[in-house]
Parts: sequence; C-alpha cells; structure tokens
Amino acid sequence: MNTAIVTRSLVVTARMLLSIVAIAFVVFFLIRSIPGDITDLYVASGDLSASQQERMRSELGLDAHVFEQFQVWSTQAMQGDLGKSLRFHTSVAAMLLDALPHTLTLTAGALITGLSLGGLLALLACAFPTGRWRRGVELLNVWSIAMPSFCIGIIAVLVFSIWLQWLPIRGQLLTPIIILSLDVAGQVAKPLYEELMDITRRGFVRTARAKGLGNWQIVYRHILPNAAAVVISLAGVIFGNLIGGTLTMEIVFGLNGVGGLTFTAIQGRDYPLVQAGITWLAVAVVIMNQLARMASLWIDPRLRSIK
Amino acid sequence: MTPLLTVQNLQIRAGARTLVTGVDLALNEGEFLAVIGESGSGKSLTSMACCGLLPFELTAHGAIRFAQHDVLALTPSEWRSLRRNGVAAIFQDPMSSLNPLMTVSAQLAEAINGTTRLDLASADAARNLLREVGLHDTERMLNAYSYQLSGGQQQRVLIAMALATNPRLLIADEPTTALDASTQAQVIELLQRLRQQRGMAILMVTHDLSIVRSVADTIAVFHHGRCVEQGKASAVITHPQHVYTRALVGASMQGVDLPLRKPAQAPHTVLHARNVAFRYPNAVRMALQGVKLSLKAGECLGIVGESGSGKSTLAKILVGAMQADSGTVEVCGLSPRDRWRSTRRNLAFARKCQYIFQDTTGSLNPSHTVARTLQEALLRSGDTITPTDRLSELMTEVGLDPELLSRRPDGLSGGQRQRVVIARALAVNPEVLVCDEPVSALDAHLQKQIVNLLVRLLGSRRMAMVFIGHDLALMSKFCDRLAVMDQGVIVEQGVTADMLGAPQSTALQTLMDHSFSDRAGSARKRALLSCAA
Repeated sequence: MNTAIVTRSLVVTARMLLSIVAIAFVVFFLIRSIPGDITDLYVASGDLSASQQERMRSELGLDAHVFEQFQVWSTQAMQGDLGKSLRFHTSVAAMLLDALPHTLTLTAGALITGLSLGGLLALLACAFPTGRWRRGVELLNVWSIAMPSFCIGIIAVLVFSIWLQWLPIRGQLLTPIIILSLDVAGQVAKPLYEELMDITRRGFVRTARAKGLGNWQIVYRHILPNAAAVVISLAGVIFGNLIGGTLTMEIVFGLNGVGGLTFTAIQGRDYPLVQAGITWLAVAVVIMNQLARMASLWIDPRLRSIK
Repeated sequence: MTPLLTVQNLQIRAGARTLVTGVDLALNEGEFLAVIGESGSGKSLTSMACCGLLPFELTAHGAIRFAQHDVLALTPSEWRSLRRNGVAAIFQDPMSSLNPLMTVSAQLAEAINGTTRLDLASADAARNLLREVGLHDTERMLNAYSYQLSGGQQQRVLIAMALATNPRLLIADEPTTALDASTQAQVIELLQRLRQQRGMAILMVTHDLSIVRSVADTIAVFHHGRCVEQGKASAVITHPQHVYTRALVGASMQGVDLPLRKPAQAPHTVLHARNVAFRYPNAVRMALQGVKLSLKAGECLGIVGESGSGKSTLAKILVGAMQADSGTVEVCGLSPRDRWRSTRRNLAFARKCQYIFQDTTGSLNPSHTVARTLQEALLRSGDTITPTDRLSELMTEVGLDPELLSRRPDGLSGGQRQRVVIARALAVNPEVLVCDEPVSALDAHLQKQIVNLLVRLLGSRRMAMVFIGHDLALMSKFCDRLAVMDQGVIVEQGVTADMLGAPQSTALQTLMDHSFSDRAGSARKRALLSCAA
C-alpha cells in the first residue's frame, strides 16, 4: 500500500516536471524565432551603432548558435540560476519574486470570489429553478464566453477611472478582480447548475429522502459532494483561462505582476525574463491541474480504483 | 380490522394531464400487495404518492391514509418523522439508488442515527441489519462503496437501510427489475422472509407477474393509469376478469409460442472460439478462461449464466468490440481481431457478423431518424438495389410500419427501438447475429414479440445466432444448444433438451430452479425431462 503511494507520487512528480521542461524548451526556441533581438531595438532607437551592436551581441552571448545558447541556459537553469535580465541587468529570479505577490493576490482573489459567486448563483438557480436566478446563470455564462476580459478592462478604465474618477487608472486591484471573478463565475455557474439539477433527480437523493433526512442534510451530504466532483474536473480549464486573464488584466491596469513583466519582456526581447515568466505560468497551470486531480481522487472513490 | 394503508380515489396530475385516476387500494398490517402493470400504467407513481416521493412537478389528489395519518396533508417535517418511523422504500435501480461517493457504513448510519458515523451501538445495529438481509461479510460490506458491490448486494444494502427504521410498511418499486433471474428470486425470498419475521406490510410494484405470484396476498392490476382489477392473488390469477389481466396471466403462464424451425442441411461451422481468456485491467479474477464454443450455420446457441459470469464479455470478444488476451476466435473465416487492423477488414467482418445490444436507447443515435440509421447500415452492405426501396422492405421484415422511418429514437417505444436495432443488424445480411440480452429490458409481452421475430428471421434468413440471456425458461424454447457460464468458465454445453434433462453443473441446476419456479414452469420442466428421457 505504502510503496504504491510512493511510486504513484514519483510518477506524478516526474510527469509534472516533464511538462514544465517541455514548455520551457518550446518557449526558448519560439521567442528566439521572433525577428529582431534586444540589440536591434537599441539600434532602432539610435542608442547603439552597428559596430557596438556586434560587440553587445557577443557580450550577451546572442551571437552563438541557438542550440549552444540553449545548452548554456539549461545548464544554468538546472543549477537554479535563471539568468539576468538583458535590459535591467538584475537577477530574473528576484524580479519574478517581486512580481509574484501581485499576481497571486489577483489570481487568488478572482478565483475565490468567482467560485463563491458562481456557486451561490448555481445554488439559488437550483433552489428556484423557474425564476430569475436561472436567467442570471445563463447571462453570466454568455458574458464569460462572449466578452473578452481585456475589452471589459479597457471599458472599466474609461468609465470608472476617467469619466467617474472613482478609482486610479493604474495599480488598483478592485476592478481586475471583479472582472476576472465574473469570468470564473460564468464558467462555473452553468455546469454546476446543470449538474445540481441532474443530481436532485438521481436515485440516491430519493433514497436519502426516503430515509427521512432533512433537506439540508440531503444537500450537503449527497448533492454537493457529487456536484463538486464535476466542478473540480473543470478546474483545470477554468484556471488556465484565469491565468490568461490575469496576464491581460495586469497589462491593462498596469500592475507589476508576472503577466505585465512578461509582456514588457516580450516587447523588449528580454529573453531570460520571457523564459522565466512563461515558465512560471506553466508551473502554475501544471500544479493547479495536479491539485484538481488529487482533489477528484479524494472525493471520488471510483477514480481511486482505476489506477 | 382497519387497513394499514388505504388509497381512495387517487388522482395524479402533471399540470393539466392526468396520469393516474380513480385508484382505490387497501393494504392490511403484514400483508403483501403486488401492484402489476406495464410501464406507464401509473403503478410506480401510485406507490411513490404513498411514500411522498412524487417528483415535484406532479400533484396527488384524493385520499391516502397510513395508520392515523392523512398522507397527502403531511408537512415536510411530519413526512420526515413518518419515514424515520413507519414507511420505508426501496427502488428499481440499486446502483443509482446508492450514493457513489459514500461508504455503505456512512449510508447505513444515516438511516440508523441520522449522522454519517456509526457509534458503538449503531455499529452493532448495522451489522445485525446486514446479516438480516443475508450479507454476512459485514466488515467488508461496511467499508465498501456501491461500485464494489454486485447488483444483488446493492439491493440488499438498500433493504437493510429501509429496515433500519423498523417500518410497518415497505414500498418496493420494481426492486428486482435490474437484477438477473436467480438474484431476483433471492431478493423476493428475502423480502418474503423479512415480512414474516417482522410482520411488516409490503407494497411491491412490478411488471412481472411470475415473480410475485407465489408471495403476494393480494394483487392490483394497473392499466393506462387505472386500477383495472384487484383481489386475492389466487383469485386474480385463476379467474382474471379484465381483458388486460387475462393477457398478462396468459403471457406468464404459456411463455412463448414459437414458430417451428427446420434444422439446416449439411451445416458448416460459422463461428468457433478456442481457449479464449480475458482479464479486465487491474481485476484479480479472470473474466473469461479457456472458453471453447462453436456455432453451425442456421443454428441458435444460447449462452446462459448469472450476471457477472462473463457472458457479455464473451459476446464483445466474439464480435471484436474487445480483444481477448489469448485464444483464437474465427467468424466465417475472419478473425475479430482484424477489425482493429484496417477499415476494410473491419467492414468485411461487419458484413458477416452483427451485434444487438440490451440497451436500445444507448445503441441508437438520438439525433438520427430511423431512415438515416438504416441507410447508413445499408450503404455498408454493398447492396446493389437502391437503399430507398430496401428501407421499407427492412422495416416490414422486422414488423414495423415504414411510416416510422421519419421518426427519431425518442419517438419510438422500447419494443420499436429494439426492432430498429434488429433491422439495422439485418441490413448487411450477416451470417452470424450475436444478441446480448436483447429482451431483458422489455416486459413479458414485448419479450415474446421480439423473440418471435428473431426466431422467425433465423428461419427465413438462414443465419446463425448466439443468444445471451439469463431467462432459461425462455431460451430453452428456441435455442438448439446451450452453454452455461459461471465465473468466466463454460461449465457445461450441449443440446438443450439433453442438458435440461440431466443438468451436470450446479450453475445450471440453480438457473433451472429459479427459471422454472412457477407452476407452469415446473410442468414445462417435467415435460422437458420426460421428453429427454
């Protein structure tokens, strides 16, 4: 039994590491396939002459063949050194650590608010199935599919910061968290509502009622755990979308998070910083997926028996 | 004596539609009432109204009295206390009636003390209940989840939960329909024993007269939302008054009248299997082991066994839906393994061998019309006649009105759907037809019709058939040979009459005992025995 758990967690860790390494690998070559590197940008802005450009290239190691560059970078990365930013000349790891708290607050805030909002709405719609709550669920779902968050973000800046002047234009978390949480809520509420409606008609709910359990007991012992199993299976997709959303929100609202950092790094062809930023996104998604997997194994005994 | 339960002029409505009307029933303390009828006759709705479990969009009118309570006027909290002390219920599909995420002990605890934990006293109570319903391996049962139990065990757990509240009335809504013949008989025996030991009354809803005829005190027959006849069981069975009751009693007494078939001339072997073995991934036990079979042209081979004996697994391997771990299967010179190699070989195999499933709803695409379903099959047959002509021909051949071609599966009845499935299988003119429990989900009338159709086709089409089922009484009527499966092994096979005349294995004996348990059955059994001798 114990060895089984050890083997399984080893396999899982190996699988997670493999996906992260694969993503890092792809990003490394993709970013270098975009035309122009950082020295070209300096030349374009007139800060550098052609002869200086060559020297700077070789100083930064950009003149080497791309495979050689990969070898150097991967050796360093393996030793825990993510390199220095080409533009700011500071450690990429330190910059990432500075930016991380902003991103985590935004993500966690949006996730918690969004899940609670979506869950509450689904429950209300289920309790009053013919009423306006159900239409609210539909509306929010359409909203989250049809309205891109960057677009809403720009409109929100225009309305609340420029016209009404209630909030600062840059650097506040309230609007991005609300926008992202509406997105999350829309993605959760509809499948959860449908699942809840389906479960209330299942045999075991009838059995529970026949046993003489109260409504509340039936809801939290029988209906909610079964519905949660479904939502958790969606968590991976929802979180992936959310990570994409934080990236654009950080850009629109000028937040110094990982997304904003990565965006400026891409524009400035700051290779090590891009690499670190995107690898972080990959790590976050992979870990959240794994957590979702573990949660569904914990909830559903049938899944435990498969592997 | 005032009856324990009385139903007077009950009417059940869904909005403006009336589903049940003018129903009167009475059930005395300790009595067994069987409510019989076909699906949609309102029998289940009536029983659900008696325990307050009607779907919320339906309303009940009239009067239902249980002991001193006016059932239809109870508040939710009064209902809860009545269910914890008086009325209990068990349902049709035991698998879905148990919460898949909770252990048996947690679900039993809910019934015993309202929590999900068994304390010392309630753990004893739980073990006693499990033993009372015949689950003696109590520790394993308590820790098990529903998916780890067989259908029979699940239904026993549900019965144990129902008994936890010491009910005076147990409402059982088709409790055996989803179970195989011998498990059915065991569950009925169990209910009968519990009724005698505990003196509780049972209201059992079923579509199968034969399983309750020996245990029911009174019978109520439902037809089109009305109770058309009720009375002492013996009276209803021996002197049925209503036309429908007569048809029902007739169907279960005579079984099936089948057209005679001539054995094929100079038969050649169309299917043979040697040493087939299969194990499901991560399973401990082999699902199939050393299976050896052969089928001649024009012959009908019946494979019988309890659920879980490996019948369906074998069927899937014969038609190539799954691959055996070892052993060889050959159908008309083709190996089912070839299906996995290329589309062309898959098609070649499909033209020789077709498969009919038990679940008629799941095996038809809900968004395709009957015409489209059949056309798809015909186009694969390499037929030279234009498909449009063949469509109505096929429909007539399986006894369907060609007008139904434009319908979708949800516009067809269960029996019609099974006929469409048969027509689809016939479209390619197969030489071998493998049917996996094709009639188990249908009621007695439809079973008779579908089996009749299959047997008639067998004669007119000169194809061979493998018929998988658990109803030995039915299968003994038309299968030339039988193979009995138990725990993944064929324990016995041979010519039907010889085998029933002198059963060698305990598996066959058990099946015979349960299948021929009613009076007419034993007469048939005696007749078979004498003809074998």
